[in-house]
Amino acid sequence: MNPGAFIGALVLIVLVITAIFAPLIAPYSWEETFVGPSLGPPSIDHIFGTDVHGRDVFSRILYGGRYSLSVGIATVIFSLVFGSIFGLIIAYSGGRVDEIGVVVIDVMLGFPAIMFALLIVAVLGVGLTNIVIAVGIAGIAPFARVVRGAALAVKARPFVEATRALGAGQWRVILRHLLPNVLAVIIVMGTLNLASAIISTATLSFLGLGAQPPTPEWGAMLNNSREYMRYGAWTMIAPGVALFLAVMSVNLLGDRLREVLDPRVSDKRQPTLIEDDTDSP
Amino acid sequence: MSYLLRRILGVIPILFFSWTVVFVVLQLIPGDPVDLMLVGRPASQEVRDNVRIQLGLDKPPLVRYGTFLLRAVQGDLGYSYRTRQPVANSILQQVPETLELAVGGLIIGLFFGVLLGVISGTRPNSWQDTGTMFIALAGISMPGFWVAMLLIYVFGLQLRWFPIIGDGLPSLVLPSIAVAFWLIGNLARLIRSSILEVMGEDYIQTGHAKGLGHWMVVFKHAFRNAMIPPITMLGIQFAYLISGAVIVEIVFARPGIGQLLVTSVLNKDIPMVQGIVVYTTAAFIILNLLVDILYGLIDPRIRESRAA
Repeated sequence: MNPGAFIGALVLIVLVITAIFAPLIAPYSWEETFVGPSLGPPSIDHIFGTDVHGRDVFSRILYGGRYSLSVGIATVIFSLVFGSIFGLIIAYSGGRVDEIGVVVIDVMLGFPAIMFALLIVAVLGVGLTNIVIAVGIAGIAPFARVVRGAALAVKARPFVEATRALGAGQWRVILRHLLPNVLAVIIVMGTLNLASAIISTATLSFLGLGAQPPTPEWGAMLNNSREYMRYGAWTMIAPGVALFLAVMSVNLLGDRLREVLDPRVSDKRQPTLIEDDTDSP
Repeated sequence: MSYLLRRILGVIPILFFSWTVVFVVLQLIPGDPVDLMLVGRPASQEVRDNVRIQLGLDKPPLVRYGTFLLRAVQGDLGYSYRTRQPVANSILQQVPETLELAVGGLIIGLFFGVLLGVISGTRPNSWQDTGTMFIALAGISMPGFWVAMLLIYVFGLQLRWFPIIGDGLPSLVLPSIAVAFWLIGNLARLIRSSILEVMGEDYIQTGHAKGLGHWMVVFKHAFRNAMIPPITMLGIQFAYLISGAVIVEIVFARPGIGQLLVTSVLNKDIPMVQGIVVYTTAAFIILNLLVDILYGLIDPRIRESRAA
């Protein structure tokens, strides 16, 4: 197996398992204050130290994975579902609908994602659910574009025409024939977008627009540690490393996935099945 | 020339459509704008009505939409609910700060991104390749705001190599590196794959066959052609850089568009949010247009195929 993908999978599995079993693994409660000293450095009792409120950073990181990872995944699912529906419908309909659909996609791609997300947060207000929707909406266009492209290719194949000739309706063709054939592309896109979704949602939480204190979301924890970095750098190391590892492992898996699914790929080449506009700052 | 004209005219519907989206989205904000404008101060019905007329909210939505578009085209984006200052002025004041940071990031990012990309692309599967690709992976996997925090802590607070606040070039170094970090990773990966692809082409073999030195082939033939795909991405990347700068300047507590935008979002200062999004979108679209035109000029093949 590819070493990069192996490391990525391993790290991701560890992060997911520790997040799921956080209540069993965490030595302390994530919200209980003064289980240790305020801004206590890492020690045997508190391996990642304690924050300004004397909360155990390690326990908060474990619970934080539940928020950061699931918010990232929820965001991708949001973009994926709506983007795929949109892409499939305009590809199937063709003609005028397709033309207008492509313009809509272009316009959405024209907004810098973070601006678009902030605009939506301005409308919906702050909160975790709202940033899932905001980043989710901002991420629809890339899915729609890629799914449309893939669906057009499938639609041109004789079996689709045959199915339609046999009298199958629009939804039957889309769901039974187009969707299964573009599913691989959708899954790859989902994986590639997960990395940027995790970063974007964490960024919004970091800006105070997503998870609110005392929620142990990683971005929110980093926001909280900003004021105290001079006195307790560990409070910003642990959540940052956790975020970095999560994003890196997804990127490693995504790279491998592209390699496997790109027919043009040779071993040493960075693959290009899907246009690489998914990495985000 | 018709390609150029067509490309420029093509921008108009996109701008129009995106501004419409901004207008519609902001109409959906719950709550009465008059309350937002009054910032919770109690006011008589008369005052409220006056504010409503002042904001033009007494007119039907379609009229407001028309006024919004007309004014937006002229660069007039109304007044901030908070400061009562013209939105356009407030934004224009902040643009140089953010732009300066984005350009700083672009320079650093281009230099190291190209360097790392060439190093790994010309030595596939060597230890240099593995090393640079690990750096590139870190570049695209570390959240920008965290990179900024680490730089502040290590080089600002501990080593004290660079000031973290203040004016002038020295204080621009750390935030520019934070902004560049992602670009370095992204560009290095793009250039590596592009070089690997080009190195398999016939004209490279020809170059080798006619006895050119290895580096001659790499720089005169491979590098030039390999740079075409990364150049097309530069427009998108500069937009990402601006998004990155918006975040980084908040971490460094620098003034700029980001600071203004986030404050406005938190304060529900709708005209300000609207103005910033309208401006950035326009800038983004025009930037992509310029890159596209540039790309057409560099590579005649593109111009031909698109004109067709």
